[in-house]
Amino acid sequence: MAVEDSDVRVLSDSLGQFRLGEVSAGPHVLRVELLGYATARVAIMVPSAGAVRQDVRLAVSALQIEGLIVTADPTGRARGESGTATVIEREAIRHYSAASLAGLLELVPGVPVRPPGLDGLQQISLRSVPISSTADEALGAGHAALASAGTLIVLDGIPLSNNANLQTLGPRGELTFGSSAGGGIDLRRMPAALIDRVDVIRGVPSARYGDLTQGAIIVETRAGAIETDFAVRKDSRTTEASIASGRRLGAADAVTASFDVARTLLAPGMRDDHSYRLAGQLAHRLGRGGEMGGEDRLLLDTRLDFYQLLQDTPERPEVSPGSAARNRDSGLRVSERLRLRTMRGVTLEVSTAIDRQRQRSSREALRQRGALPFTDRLTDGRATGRFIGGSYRSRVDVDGDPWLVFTRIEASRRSSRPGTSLELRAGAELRREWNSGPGYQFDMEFPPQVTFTGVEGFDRPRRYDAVPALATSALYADSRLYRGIAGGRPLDVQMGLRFDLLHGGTHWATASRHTVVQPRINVQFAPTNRLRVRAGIGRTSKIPTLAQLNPAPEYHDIVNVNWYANDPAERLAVLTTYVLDPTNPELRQPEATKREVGVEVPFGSRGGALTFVAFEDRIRGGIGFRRTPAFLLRDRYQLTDSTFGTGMPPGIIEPATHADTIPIMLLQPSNMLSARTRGYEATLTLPEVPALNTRFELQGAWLWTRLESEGIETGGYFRDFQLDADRVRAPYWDGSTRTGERLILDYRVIHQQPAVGLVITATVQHTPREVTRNIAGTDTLAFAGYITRAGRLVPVAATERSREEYRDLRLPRRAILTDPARTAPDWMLSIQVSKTLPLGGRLSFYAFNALDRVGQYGRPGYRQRLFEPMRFGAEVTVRPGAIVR
Amino acid sequence: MIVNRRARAQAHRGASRWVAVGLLTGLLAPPAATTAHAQVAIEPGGASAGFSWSPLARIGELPRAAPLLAPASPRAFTAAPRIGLFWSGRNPAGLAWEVESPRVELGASVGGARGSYRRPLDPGGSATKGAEAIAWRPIGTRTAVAGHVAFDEVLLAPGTLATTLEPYASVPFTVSDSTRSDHSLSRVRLEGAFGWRVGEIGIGLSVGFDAADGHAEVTGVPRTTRASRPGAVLGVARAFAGGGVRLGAHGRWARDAETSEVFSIINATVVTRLNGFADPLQFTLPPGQRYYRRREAEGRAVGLAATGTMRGLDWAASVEVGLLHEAQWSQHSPEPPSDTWRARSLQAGAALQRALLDSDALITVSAQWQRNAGDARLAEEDSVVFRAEERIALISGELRWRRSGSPWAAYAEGTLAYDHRDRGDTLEYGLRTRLHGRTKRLAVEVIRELAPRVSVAGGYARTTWEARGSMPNPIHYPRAIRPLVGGEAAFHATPSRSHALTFAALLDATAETSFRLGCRIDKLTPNQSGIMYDLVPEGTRTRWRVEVSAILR
Repeated sequence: MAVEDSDVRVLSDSLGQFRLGEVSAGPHVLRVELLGYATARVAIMVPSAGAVRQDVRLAVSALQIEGLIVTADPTGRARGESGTATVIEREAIRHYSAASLAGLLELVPGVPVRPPGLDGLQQISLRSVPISSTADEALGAGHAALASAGTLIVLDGIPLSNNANLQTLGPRGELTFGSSAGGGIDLRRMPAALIDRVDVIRGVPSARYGDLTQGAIIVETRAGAIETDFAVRKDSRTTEASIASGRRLGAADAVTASFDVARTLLAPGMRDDHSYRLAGQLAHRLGRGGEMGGEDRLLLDTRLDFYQLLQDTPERPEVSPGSAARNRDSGLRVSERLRLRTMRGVTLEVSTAIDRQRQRSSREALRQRGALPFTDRLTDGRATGRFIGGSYRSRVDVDGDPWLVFTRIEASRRSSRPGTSLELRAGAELRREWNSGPGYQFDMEFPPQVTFTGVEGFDRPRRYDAVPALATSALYADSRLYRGIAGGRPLDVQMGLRFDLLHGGTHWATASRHTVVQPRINVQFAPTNRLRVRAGIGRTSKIPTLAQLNPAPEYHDIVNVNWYANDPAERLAVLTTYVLDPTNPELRQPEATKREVGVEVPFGSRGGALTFVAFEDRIRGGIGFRRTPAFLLRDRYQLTDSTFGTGMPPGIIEPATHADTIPIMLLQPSNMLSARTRGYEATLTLPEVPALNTRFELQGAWLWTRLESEGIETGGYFRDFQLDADRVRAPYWDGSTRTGERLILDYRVIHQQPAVGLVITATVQHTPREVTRNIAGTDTLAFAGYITRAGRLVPVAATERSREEYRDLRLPRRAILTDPARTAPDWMLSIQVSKTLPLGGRLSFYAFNALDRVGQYGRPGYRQRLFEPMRFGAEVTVRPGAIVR
Repeated sequence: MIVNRRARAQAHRGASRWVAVGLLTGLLAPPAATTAHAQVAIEPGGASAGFSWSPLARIGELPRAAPLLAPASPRAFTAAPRIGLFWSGRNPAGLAWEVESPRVELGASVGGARGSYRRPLDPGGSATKGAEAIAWRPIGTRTAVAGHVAFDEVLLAPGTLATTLEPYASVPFTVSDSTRSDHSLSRVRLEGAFGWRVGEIGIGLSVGFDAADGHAEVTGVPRTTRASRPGAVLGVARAFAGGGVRLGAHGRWARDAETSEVFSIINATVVTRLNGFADPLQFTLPPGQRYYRRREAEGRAVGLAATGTMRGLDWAASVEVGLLHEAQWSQHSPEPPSDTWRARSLQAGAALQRALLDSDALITVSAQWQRNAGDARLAEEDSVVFRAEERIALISGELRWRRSGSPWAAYAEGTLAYDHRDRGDTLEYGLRTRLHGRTKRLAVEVIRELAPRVSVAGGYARTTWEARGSMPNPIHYPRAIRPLVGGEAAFHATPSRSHALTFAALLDATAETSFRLGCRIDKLTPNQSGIMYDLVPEGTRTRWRVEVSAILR
């Protein structure tokens, strides 16, 4: 027996009786576990004085428990946290039949639903809505990546990281492949079948968690002594099988093994594209030293996680000859968590992990281009090149091996006396991330790009093992105080301070390059049993990625001589290569400030509650690519002999007759983005209607996101200016602001028949409002200044822009639309059905977009909203142990 | 009355140990959708055969089934036949009165069909794997639930020319293309009913969901088909005369959405959009193009039903009127021009059941009549372009007999069905068919107890089809549709017969658990003595099915 969100736990006696003490007044969830039975979660209301009696009836299958919660718990709290959270328990996970963690997160307010499966990249951006994706020239990876990168994923107590993922072809890449680089991790790697619980902290997390701006998702996998279950899931695209089994070894040891294999056909009948996943975990839990408060004094938790994720788009010679793509990500993580409880109530916890991934991406495509001067020079300087062109098959391999070493040492102490309990916690974190992969490789004769302006050069291969490692460390301390005030009404205050240090070198011994001090506080108070008010404020920060700290060098190949004769032997190409390093030594960690206030109104013993949260998240110093103007010198030469038919190329006459400047834009990672998201989240769970065994839930999120860029935009005129030596200047504009607004409502009806072990859930996701908008001056006087051919920015005051001398700059701003783009409102129905089968089995059915609604085609004033087609399937779970029994 | 009910229940249980029951699939309800794909995907058989409470039954629709009407499974050892507001009247409010004991049946089956004697848009062959479960039970004294779930994986090989799942529905709009590549189809069907009563009043709700998702196997002209069909029935009932008579009323809603797409990725294909008997829209889809067709239909119906017991005779009667509105279109736009079909339906049914010979025998007789009338309009036409009036009438009787103390038992069923189809276009050709079909079926199964817990059954069924009426000579149809529409008309006008052999076995593992095996093979052949048209296919068609199930009482 345990009270969730607390350390209060106890074992029942031989008669099944139990007594829990030191439980703070107010609403709680009592959790009861017994091997061979389904875990029961019972909502209880603890009075400020006296005791409460609670009978709990266990059932072999959770589906036979009355009042079973098969959706996210909106009033639950993440373990050890008091910020706004959504808790997704094992039963909700089983009922939802998701293929991966991303599918489960659809239970969080404001998250759009997607068809289950391994289709495409799956990332999550908490508390964020899409903004316009047009005119993205200053954003780098864009806002979606910014938000998903700022969503921390913690697996079994240890964070996952995507910071060393370099699987991208960079801003100049012309070939593309699916990659999570620059954003959050690809959630397909985590099968829902192996997950025991998910805590989604949307509010202010405790000081224990860093490397985030949006929120934290705490994932606990299935471990300990669990009954073996084997599940097979099948729909028209996805086939999945999973098995999990845990066995107790002795009194306090347990070993668990779980595996999952899944395959999704991405376009059955059309193409052979498919995704494939193999994932699993071996866990060993060792307890020693006798029990203290229901747990062993020494607890060693060892985990070995592995996964492989493949997305394959094979060549179809008859349709797209020469075109193919393949992504294969795999990873192995070994982690150890040691928890030692001392006699003085101090708990020491040491967590350490080494996480190694292997990422292999390749892309092939037929390319076609005209004859172009070409050099494969890797250093600054002038060289005689050659001409390349025609049709060829280009192949690029991007091979990365990201590593993460993580260690956390934490001490905590809990003390209590009547009416008050205090928990103190302090810890330190060390993490180092690097990439040891061969990197970005291709045959330079057949580069994956065909656009060559005579300025920006062809890409060059880059080894990732030469990229310096990223070292960070953190110190944190926080306290949590429960106290009865004003007649015993419970007050819960969690406050903490965290220091995140980004080191200048590749090890923790090096000096700090940037430090962020992050105070955080959450307060909640229950003035009555039927009301709980909460507020929180705190600062967080995000570690820059390896790619942002160490961007790839920019190669500029300036054509000095382009003598193209019919006879190849008479051709001459002379190019000067400039290798520019866009590294920004001033780059620092983006910071975010999170604020929220909320209220919860539990409806009493029959269950149900109303919750409402208003929040604002501000990110400052978000990293984008700043377009920094500069210039290059181009030498002009006379040729020795320019007559044809000599069979020899002409020579150049030194020195150069003259030189001119070519303006360029250096794409430099910079803390140039500010994002502000505010919104309201609400959930309403009505008490069950006993006669109908039916419950109604409503949840919604109305969010506004505003992204501002400090960079400049060139309105699409820079390329012409760069290549036209006669143009002396080109206009530039201040960075635009992009906004997004979205209201998502989920209506859910849950019908349960405990007597027959049946639960049916019908969910309608309704999006009544979705608007994106670009805010920018687009009239001819909106330009902010001009760029010279020497790469200098010359601002022009607004009052002077109408003068005659700036007539050539008064151009309409291109590549940006400022009219609001509204997406047509519509709704979609999904259903889940779970039913017990004989011998402990279970049948689950799911249908995404069950009515196969098409959506809305564009009508006046609206953009189209097209839904993914219906997808349905079933999952059968069997318990071999029950069959044997 | 209570005594009577108990006696009847005992009679049922006694019979079910030997003969169990099952019957009359779809005879009290509109016939199941037994057309091209559906014929192999959801043909009634296995655990669900014999029950017609489905909330997914079509409204205003009488698909033109191929004359292969024998049930796909042997009936021996299947569940007892039931009649009543819920079981035969489709009103879930009757459930709480009509379920006395729990039953669960879990089954799996494989089957297939092959042969050249088929209609032009039927698949060349099929192989089916399926799993199915049906269960019902009372909960306390006032509530009962019933549920049914079925999953099927079907491989149509060779496939069908039709791009839609049910090319022989009442609606005259059908799309085909010129490829007959193999096609995979996944199909699921979920149905559940909940009935609750307080005193003499009962209310009930049944909901269902049927979905299919299919795609062509490797081909240069991929084709995808997707369909979703939810349905719901809300009913109320009241008992009179101490529960001896119950009257009920219900409202029914069903929706259909089907999307089919043809992608001519490598090869060109000829797409034909049939509009009844008129000139079809026919065009070549060049490589790299896509053809899209969306069908949405919504039906509503209301009905009355009554049931009761009189002098040991159980009776049930029902009547239902319905409206169907269907639209089909091919454009991706907010308000695409649509071809429409509006149909009205009226149906009535009645059933009688009685235990005889000291409960050694159970006889069930049922009758059903349904009339549908529909008008079709093309998007580009202001007037009706096609009209259909269709009627069916069926009468069926079933006898299950087992003499006390004897190891022998028997099952016999006879069915007589009349099928009247008057379909014609109102355009320039004015082509019209009036076919009056008659189906006669006789099935016999003999059961023998081999050991105290083991029984086997063998059976034979014969079905004959004959038609009269008037229709144009198929060779006079417009050239573009002659092979498709003319071929179908010729097929239906040709007398045919089918013979079926069945085998079943039952193992009573415990008093509560039994395992059942059922096998059936049947063969459809044209009657050589009938009128032969030029377009009548040659050969025969063979169908087989093997099913195993576990029965938990």
